[in-house]
Amino acid sequence: MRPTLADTVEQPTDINIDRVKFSKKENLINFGAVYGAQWIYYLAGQKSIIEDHGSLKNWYGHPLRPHFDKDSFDFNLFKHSLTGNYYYLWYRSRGHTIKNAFFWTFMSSLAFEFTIETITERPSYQDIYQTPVFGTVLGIGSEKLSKYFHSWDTWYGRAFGYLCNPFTLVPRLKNNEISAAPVLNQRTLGATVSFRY
Amino acid sequence: MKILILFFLFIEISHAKGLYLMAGGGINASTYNTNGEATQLGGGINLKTDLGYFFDDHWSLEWSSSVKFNRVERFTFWDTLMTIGPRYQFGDNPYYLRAFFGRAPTVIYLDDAPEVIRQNNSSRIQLNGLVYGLAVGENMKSKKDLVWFYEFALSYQELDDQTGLRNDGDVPVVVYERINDEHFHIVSLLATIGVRVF
Repeated sequence: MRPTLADTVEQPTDINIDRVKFSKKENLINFGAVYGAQWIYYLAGQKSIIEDHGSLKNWYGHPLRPHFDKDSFDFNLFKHSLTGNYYYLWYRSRGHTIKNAFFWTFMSSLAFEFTIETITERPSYQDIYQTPVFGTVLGIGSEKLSKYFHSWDTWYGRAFGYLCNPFTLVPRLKNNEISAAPVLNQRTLGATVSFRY
Repeated sequence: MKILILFFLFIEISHAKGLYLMAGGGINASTYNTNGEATQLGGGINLKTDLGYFFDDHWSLEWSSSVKFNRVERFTFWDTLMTIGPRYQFGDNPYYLRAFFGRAPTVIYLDDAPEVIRQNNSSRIQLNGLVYGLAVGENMKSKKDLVWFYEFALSYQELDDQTGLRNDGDVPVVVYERINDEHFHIVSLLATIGVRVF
């Protein structure tokens, strides 16, 4: 018989055994990984907006002028919540408690709002609040749902589990269950990835 | 900005002690008034979160977001009530009171609106103004120690300035701005049920 959601959510897994103490180096690495990913996403994903609306003057002038943004609800509610969800799941996967994962989600969200996105826009009060808060609420749900799907112990259950919380793949990386090799020739640049699950 | 910094300091200093997050959803009924007359009645759903810090057994300070979606005639209204305020938890029973004030951007989507309303080809209007409110609720505990609550709130929104918007790709473009002088305001009654997230 399949376990219920309530049976599975409280069980510790190998990816998030709550820890209270983290060294400064660990915090720096965890936060830095998110910060690096934020820069990559922004520079690659928002290239045309940066070209049209970005400037160095914005970058250092905008952080002092937060405002209520004029974005549509699909941005403010869905995309920012989804982003916050991934911040939260990342910090949980590193072993942070729920509260500490929220705290670091807040930090990462502030870092994006005040030091990256300012190239093109002023920090937004809605985003400052909603990205970490809604993201954490969504992240707690994603984490529980992922654990539930993993507990099915079937290939499709694991697939859904990884989809809900991609950071459950991290232990697999440690166990060498995922491998990647570059494919390089004159016409092609790519990689082959194999994943045993 | 100062409030934001103060609140952030609370989080940094004490996030292991009295910090909490409540989240829930519910329904609301709102009246849309101009120059003192109730002109429209709307209803819809709302989502709210309260991020707070308890100073003692009774008092806390909260930073809250309440998102309302209402349908009024052919228009969709989307409000975001960003507020701060105190919460008082009664010591000998599970009831609490909240007061809140802040700002509330209100967006009206004009997809189904006649051309005369869609000035300068705007696709939505954003109105900004102050919001004030009071709430009363009760905290309960489930058999599995989950804290949940129900709450009734009354809010009053003033909508002072108006901006017409359309999107250029993902970027909102302002097509006109003006100050409202019709004393446009919204009164809402909200019923919410939710849980304590942490």
